[in-house]
Amino acid sequence: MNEDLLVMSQITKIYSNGVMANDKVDFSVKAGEIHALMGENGAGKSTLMNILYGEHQPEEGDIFLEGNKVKIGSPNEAIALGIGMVHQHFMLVPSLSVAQNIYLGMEPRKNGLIDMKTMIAQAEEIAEKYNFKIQTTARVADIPVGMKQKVEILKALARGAKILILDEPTAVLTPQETEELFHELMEFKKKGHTIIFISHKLKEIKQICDRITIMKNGRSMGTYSMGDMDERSISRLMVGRDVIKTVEKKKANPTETILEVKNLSCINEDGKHAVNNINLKVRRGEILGIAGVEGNGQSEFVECISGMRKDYKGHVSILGQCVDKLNIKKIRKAGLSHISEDRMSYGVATEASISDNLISDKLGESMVGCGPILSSKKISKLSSELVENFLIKCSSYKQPVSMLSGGNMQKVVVAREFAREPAVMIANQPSRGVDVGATEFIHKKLVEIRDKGSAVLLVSADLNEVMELSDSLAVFYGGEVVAYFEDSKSVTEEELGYYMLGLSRQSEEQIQRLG
Amino acid sequence: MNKKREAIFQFLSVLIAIAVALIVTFIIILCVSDEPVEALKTFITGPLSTKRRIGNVIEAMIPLIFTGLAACVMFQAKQFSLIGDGSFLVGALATAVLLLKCNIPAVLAIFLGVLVGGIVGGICAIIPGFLKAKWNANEFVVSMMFNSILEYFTVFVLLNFIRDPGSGFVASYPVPENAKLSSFISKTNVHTGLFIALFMVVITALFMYKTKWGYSIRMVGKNPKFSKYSGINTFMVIFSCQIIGGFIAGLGGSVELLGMYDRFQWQSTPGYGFDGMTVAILAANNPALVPIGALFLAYIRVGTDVMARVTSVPNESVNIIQGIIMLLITASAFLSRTKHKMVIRSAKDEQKKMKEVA
Repeated sequence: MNEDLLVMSQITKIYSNGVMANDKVDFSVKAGEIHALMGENGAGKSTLMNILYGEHQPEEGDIFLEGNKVKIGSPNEAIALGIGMVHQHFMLVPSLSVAQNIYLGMEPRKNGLIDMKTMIAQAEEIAEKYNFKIQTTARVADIPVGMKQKVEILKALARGAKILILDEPTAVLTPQETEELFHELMEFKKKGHTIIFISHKLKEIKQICDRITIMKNGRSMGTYSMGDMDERSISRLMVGRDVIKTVEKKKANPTETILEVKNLSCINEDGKHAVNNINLKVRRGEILGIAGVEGNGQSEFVECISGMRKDYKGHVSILGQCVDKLNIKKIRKAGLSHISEDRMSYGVATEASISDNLISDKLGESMVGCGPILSSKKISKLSSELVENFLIKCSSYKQPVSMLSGGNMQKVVVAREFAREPAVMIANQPSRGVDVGATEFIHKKLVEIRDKGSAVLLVSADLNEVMELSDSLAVFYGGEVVAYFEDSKSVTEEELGYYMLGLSRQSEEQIQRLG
Repeated sequence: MNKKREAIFQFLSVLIAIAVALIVTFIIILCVSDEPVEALKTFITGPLSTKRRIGNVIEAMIPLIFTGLAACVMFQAKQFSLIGDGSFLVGALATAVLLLKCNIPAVLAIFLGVLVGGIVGGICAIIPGFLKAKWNANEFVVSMMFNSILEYFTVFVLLNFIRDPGSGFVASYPVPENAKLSSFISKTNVHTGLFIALFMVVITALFMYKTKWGYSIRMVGKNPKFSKYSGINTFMVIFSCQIIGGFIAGLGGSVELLGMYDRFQWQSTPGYGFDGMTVAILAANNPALVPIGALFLAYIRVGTDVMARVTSVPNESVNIIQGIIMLLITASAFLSRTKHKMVIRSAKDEQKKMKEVA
């Protein structure tokens, strides 16, 4: 039992856009265990598992299965080696039946034709073997999400998977379905299967996993036995930071309300409340921090107030002006700036030059030209000023942004968003994937703009960042505000961790002070 | 990846694609021709052998510049619309109808004729452009289908409104002499439309790189999410770039008609819209480089034409060259290993730098 069944050694993966998703990661799994792979979004968990499943090829590193070096060139080869994967987003054919999906591509045949009867019989047999209650003739489109997941699992098992990778399997499940899934997973374990369980839900992992590997920023933070870890130590490894830099700032002096959010709710495609009835106010001259483990509604919340998303209920106003469902141009005109959490998708156009990236939100303003014409002179003046003031390291503002390091790319975003001196600055994960120096710089700028009279809403999953930078602090969990601290210094990291992981919750009165 | 590496990579991949295409064509010529050396020689040097043939190259280049520019504008916004083909045809038709049906004073004839061609070309793009911008209907498929409609519409108008029954073949009445773009080099048909084409190159390049609208088109093509997040109206950009493309292609149709023909006689598309896509791809979607791309394509066109006349190799061989070039330049997997290696090298360099800084 103590032999490592699977070893991934020194795996490095660089994507075509230059992002280093895995940096010399070591990972090993023992036979018959449930092994948790934990980390925030973008920590490299899925990349590592996609490499194991043959969907991506690593640049460096080896994979050993039962001591033998293997090369996994495609999912088919992974399946042949007994590795199965259930993706977070199901890969099923909705118009086909459960049995057809399970045996897709390996249908039993008779006289060269697909033998439906045998297929259904086999599907029922395998479902029974693993104690899955499932109707094999139902159309996949008609069955609930929990069932679809079972179909995915059966699909892997029918292909002889001994190692089963589950990528955030509980993300789409109700608590009851989750319980059922866990029960089934324990059964698999008894039958000798090995399970790799990707999640960032602490409680679940504590409940069923034997060992845990924690990843952060593409690196492995180590593998631990579950018994040795408590929630606190896991959360420290996952979201914590080694270098604590104190941000120098004066005491906040908040005045009138600038950004006001009332009863904001929105529902995601899976029918769950991503944001549930949130009320908050951000005042001139303060930084309101929003802490929380990622995926607890922060992204959707920011999407709603920044106009990226319009299918919400509730009201948003800036400086008393209602900006509900206005287009982004108008919301920005009303005084909103927004540093997106997803730098590569929203924050920059990587192929475009630095100056092109700096002016994208200023087309309506006189600082880039008059009428329909762009003025090269004005743009070059603006660009060189911003490059200088925001310490963007580049040979010229004509360089494409893709040439810059993550930190400098983020400085481009920050420079653009700060240039118009906004009334409200939404900084969503402003220091993600950014080196220490740039992080410090961005923090300094956020404090500066606060002192100049902007309202700053800082969303961050990085505990130290929100704690150091914010004047007051709200905690998101499950799409709701579960705690509010008027003075961010009055709370300890430990205490905050409990709120972030949903282990405790303030009373309604305490929370309502925020809105 | 760093810019120099990226630019070198792009330039090399175009060169390699052209080289591969030519080599394949040469091999085919070697196989099918009784006199391969002669065929190759005429293919390569034929277009330069007489003044008239040099003229042919320039004539062939003019419509390609227009449709190439049209494709550039649309490709810059990542809209792969074929509407240039339909707009070119209907633009020419509109010019013919206008000049034949309305009594336009001689001074204005050329100007109005070409302008109306452009406007009608732009109108052709409204439906596919709107469907894409509003409902994300694939512009490639819609424009392709819409082109058939435009083609039959053209035949309908030609047969019912402007056909000259006295002509020996299906064609319109002759276009008034005073509206025609005259040739300015003796013994060739090189007409003043060339200047209109070059003027459009300058205008399009300025539009793409010096106006807010052009900037928006480029940004939407580079990253639509980023553009939306920045407050750019992506709907208008996607819609308008196709109309602008249609407009330029429509101008091209008019110019081609007024420069090269006496009567409107196309009953099906002359295919310049598709060629424009090749030109745009060769020019890396940069309007300023379109004349070079158009010259290259016109040159191999005339080369194969000459070869077909002198030897037994049919001029369809040009399609092989064109096809292979398109395939290789657009196939993202072509040289992708080399590219990935370059990316890794860059990423590692950067990491080293980062470590040094830290």
